Amino acid sequence: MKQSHKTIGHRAAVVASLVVTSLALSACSGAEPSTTTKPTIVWGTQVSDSQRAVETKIVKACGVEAGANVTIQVTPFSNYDTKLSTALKGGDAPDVFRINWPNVQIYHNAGYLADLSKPIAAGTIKTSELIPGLVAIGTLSGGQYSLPNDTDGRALYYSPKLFKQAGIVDDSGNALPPETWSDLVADVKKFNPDSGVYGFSFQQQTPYSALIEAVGPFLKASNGTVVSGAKKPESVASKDASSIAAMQLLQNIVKTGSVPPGLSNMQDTTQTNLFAAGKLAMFTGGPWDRGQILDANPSAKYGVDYATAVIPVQKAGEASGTSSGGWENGINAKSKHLEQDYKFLNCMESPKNLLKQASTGSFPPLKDGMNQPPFSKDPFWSAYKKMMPKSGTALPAIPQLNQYCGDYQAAFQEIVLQNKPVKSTLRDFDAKENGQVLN
Amino acid sequence: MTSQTHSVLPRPRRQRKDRGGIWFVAIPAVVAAGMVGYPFLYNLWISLHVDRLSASDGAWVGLKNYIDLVTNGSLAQVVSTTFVWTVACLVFGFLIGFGLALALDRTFRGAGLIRTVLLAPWVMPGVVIAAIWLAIFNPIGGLANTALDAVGLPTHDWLGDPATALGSLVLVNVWKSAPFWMLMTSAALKAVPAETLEAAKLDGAGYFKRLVFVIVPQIREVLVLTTLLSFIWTFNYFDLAYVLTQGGPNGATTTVPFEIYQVSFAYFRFDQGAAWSVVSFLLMTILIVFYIRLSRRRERA
Repeated sequence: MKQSHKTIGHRAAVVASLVVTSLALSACSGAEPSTTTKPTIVWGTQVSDSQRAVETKIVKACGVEAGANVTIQVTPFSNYDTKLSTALKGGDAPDVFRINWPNVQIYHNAGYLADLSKPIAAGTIKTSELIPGLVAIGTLSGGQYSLPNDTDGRALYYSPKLFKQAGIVDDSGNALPPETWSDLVADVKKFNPDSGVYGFSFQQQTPYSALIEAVGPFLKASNGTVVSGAKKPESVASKDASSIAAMQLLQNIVKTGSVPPGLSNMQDTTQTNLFAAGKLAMFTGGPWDRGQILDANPSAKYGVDYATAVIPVQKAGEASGTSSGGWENGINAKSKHLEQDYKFLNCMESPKNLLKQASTGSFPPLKDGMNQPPFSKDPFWSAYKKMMPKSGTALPAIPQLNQYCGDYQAAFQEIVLQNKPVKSTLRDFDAKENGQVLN
Repeated sequence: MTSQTHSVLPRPRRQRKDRGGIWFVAIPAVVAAGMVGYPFLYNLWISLHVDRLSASDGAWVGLKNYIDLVTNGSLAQVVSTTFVWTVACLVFGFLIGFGLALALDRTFRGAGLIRTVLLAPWVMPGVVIAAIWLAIFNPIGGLANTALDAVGLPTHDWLGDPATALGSLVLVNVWKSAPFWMLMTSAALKAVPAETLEAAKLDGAGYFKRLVFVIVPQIREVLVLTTLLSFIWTFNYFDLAYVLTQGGPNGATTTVPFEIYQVSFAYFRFDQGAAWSVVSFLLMTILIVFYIRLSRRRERA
């Protein structure tokens, strides 16, 4: 009898513990059913501290919309391309990431980017409101491998205060930015470095700088090109009249002597610091340079201490243009949860989010983006807006773009800083590129 | 069973010990060979194939990447720049470091403190040193030009002029590396027997003769070792060119390590970067072997 009681007691204990365990398990599975099943999307970005808060909010919201957790992997701009490239090569890259536009074709050639054609066709990603020229950067081999995140351009920054002091004014006494290339050279000459003010500067921070930052704006303003034929690219820097003229213009500017020393290694921040300190009258810069000027001189006012104008043109009356670029978004071809990645990207590419992101230092890649606030109300953007129709990348996104730009920088420094002849130096450059780099 | 035991027992224990010793040597040797050999062979493999983030990656190209180094004209320029940079840094680093060691090789109050202060540049990270000198060489308001201006001398864009950029980098590296020469030479000087120097002095040898015929031969081995280490470090030094000049202006400060970085990580030409690495390894090996043989021959003579 005792034994049977014991057996019943044991059985009861076993049943009770099973009930408790099953209740506990069901309680656990009911508490957060989605956390254990949700995939985690890794978002790769290079945005600066000032832009990060806005982007983080958008990224988190898009993660929710895609039904995924999101981890943000931030790499500083200076290392971003290198780190992303090596991570992609090593199979350890983020799932969705920003791509510097010159690298889109290289990554596509290496097979790192997922084709977005299907989700676009299925309506999972919408592209109808994006600027077609920017979408075209990712249109490769009949597929779509990236979509624009933002875009930018270079305008002429000038100091109305220094212009007035130098007597460069219109009939009403307002500062008058140069309209043509000859106006620009004449204006640069009016600033005397001995009195502590330099006329003009350009940056040489990266191997891209010479072509995209220094020559690019003038090249695009005069409808020039340095590479023709995207399918079988050919370097034509010495054949294109505008390419030669733009290089000649920069050589003439340096010859005036009214440029700061250290141009061969001029950093963007050095340039904006000089400008903010009232020691530089003009430079060509992107929208991000406004933030740098205000960091260096928080009391600087638009229209007084700084203003933006369109890039001067070769002949008066011509419409201006400028070199533009920007960041694209792409999906890692090796990502394990492409469906969520597509939804995430669709959210990132929504007009509302693109506008929010761009407002921190670039333009939205939307057809109607510049006509919406804050771009439509702030006079700072008007010069960029005027140049948009004639803007484009300084060269097509060829696979050898990085090396081409690096070699161009060497030729640029020989011509502009060491005063070598423009045509023959560019001819040697073309011969090298067509013979060894682009073939 | 017993006889078997007997036949085994007399064997010396040393043999067993030796077998264990082989394993102690073999395991680290295999690990070391793997750590050195595998990356080298993999690098060699990359240099013989296409590897540039392209659709044809992995295709065999033989020596094309090496031939490209010659035909695009960069090999001669970069190697000669690296050679000038390395030799200049070694010569000036030695002269200054050796001079300082001799000057401090006597007991006076504060010698230890001076030695410690002089060692500071050597222990600082290269990037910090580059940042300090970037501020000194800054053409606008930098210390170098401000000092020149103060004494009425013309200012100069030290890092921006191809004629002075490499020299400026050599100056910075000598500032950083001379304390190492000083440290090594100081230690070696302490080991020179005082009696030998005293005997030379009694024989009428002046300071210069004692230096050349007594001190230098006594510390030769340390000088050979220091030269070797400095050569390897200087040849491979990357930080200064990266931070101060980015290899410019117009390639004037592009040394082999910077070229490897630029080709591999700025241009994504991993294949050509690998070819450069192999060339760099061979150059260093040849020069080190040549130097060791030369110093041994002199020692024998």
